[in-house]
Amino acid sequence: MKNFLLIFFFFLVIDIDPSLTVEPHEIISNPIYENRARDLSKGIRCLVCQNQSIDDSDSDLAKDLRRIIRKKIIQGDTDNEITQYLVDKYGNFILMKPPLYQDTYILWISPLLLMLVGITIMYFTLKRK
Amino acid sequence: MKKIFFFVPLISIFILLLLIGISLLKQDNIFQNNKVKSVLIKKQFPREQILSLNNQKLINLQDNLGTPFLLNFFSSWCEPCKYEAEYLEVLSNKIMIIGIAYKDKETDVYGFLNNFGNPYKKIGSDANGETAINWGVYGVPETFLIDKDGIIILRHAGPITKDVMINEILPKLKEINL
Repeated sequence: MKNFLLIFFFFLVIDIDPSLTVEPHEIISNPIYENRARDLSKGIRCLVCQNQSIDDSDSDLAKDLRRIIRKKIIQGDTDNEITQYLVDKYGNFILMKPPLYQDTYILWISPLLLMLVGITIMYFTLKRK
Repeated sequence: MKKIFFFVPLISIFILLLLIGISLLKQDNIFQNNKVKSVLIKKQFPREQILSLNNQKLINLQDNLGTPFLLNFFSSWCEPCKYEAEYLEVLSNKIMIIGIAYKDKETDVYGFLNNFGNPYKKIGSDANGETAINWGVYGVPETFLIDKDGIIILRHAGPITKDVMINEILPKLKEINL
């Protein structure tokens, strides 16, 4: 039991900062800039791994994208400008949270529809009982 | 009122299926051969200057306006690039090909070209991968076809196989009278 708890807490602790992929030499010395870079990176998809953000990915492309983001932050670009630059190059697919547009209607509407189905089924089941 | 409630799940599921159907039909717009389609298609190619492989001069892609060309991202360390070399050689007889050596060393690139042939009219260097990102590249090899007006009309991610050359690239070359 003690071992189990130890292991459990170990994983709890190492999971606090899931991004151990950002390498020390990548980090900008200005903490405000670095935080902005980290926040932006969390919203950008690693295109060669697809279900990870570039903040979590160790792939070469993710590293390059992280570097570009940091470079652009230092150059004075705003978060929106940087995101737009990446969308212009790779499309909306690069965003971890795709915006609401024609191709993504289903992503946004389906949970609501399914909730509606669930609520109705629940209503009837409870009523019957 | 109760009857309306009864139809809510049915209608919801119907709408859901309809949306899934529409997005499946539209998938062709987002994916092409299971690859994400480049958003740069039908747009002007990114204007930038690329350092030549020997770092001695700048290659200005704009100088090529008026002549269609293929831009091919490759590397000496990339296995599929060796495979596509023979097809690039064939294509180089029809259209100018500009190569971009992606994260590579000059000596390694020349070794690669000696072994597998040099289809390139000019070779630029993208030592840190930034040019590739500017072109929305995923990895090497990746090839773009640019028409005489500087518009990207085709992007192929992955090696150019015989099939890709015959069914994708050559028909596009024909479209632009090459």
